[in-house]
Amino acid sequence: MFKSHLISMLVFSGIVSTIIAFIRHDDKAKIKKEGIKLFLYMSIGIIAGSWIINFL
Amino acid sequence: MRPYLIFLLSWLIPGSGHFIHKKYTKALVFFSGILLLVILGIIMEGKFFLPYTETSNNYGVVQRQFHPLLILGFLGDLGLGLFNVIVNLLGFAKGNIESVTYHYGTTYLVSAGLLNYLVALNAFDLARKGGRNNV
Repeated sequence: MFKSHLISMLVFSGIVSTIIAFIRHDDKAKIKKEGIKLFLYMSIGIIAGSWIINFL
Repeated sequence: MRPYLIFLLSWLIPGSGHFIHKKYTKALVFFSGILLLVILGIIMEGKFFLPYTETSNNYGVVQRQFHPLLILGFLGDLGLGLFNVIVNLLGFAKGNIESVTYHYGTTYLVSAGLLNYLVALNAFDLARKGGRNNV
């Protein structure tokens, strides 16, 4: 399972974004929103960054 | 409880500072999340940073060279508190450079330590404010 870099990155993003969302907010709705936002930022940012690096 | 004591306790055991302030959901998330990162880091054959590299000269004398980047990694791993001690005592997280997931595992471990610093600081802040806004 963890031989895949993509899955390793997604699992990492999921755990880290959940913890940071819980640190930053107290309200459950805000935690959920922040968690999803952070997860998407991290995942999409890393995929886009690695795609750009591919051309260097 | 004094904020600095809460910080120390939260650093030693992730989530314990929030548990004391009756924020049980947060305490559970922090403890299980950081523990999960550590377990996955070990499974991926990552390693804990040492603040130095060891080289032996022509006479077989081992020399330790300290490096700023290694020291930063070491400080990151140190953030795991008791988890760091337990994992070291059990002999895990020695790292296998030949493993495909070695770098990911090392990143998981150091990130867990850095996140625990944030969690401990949050607990410290909570103790200073008196534990309002319970989840």
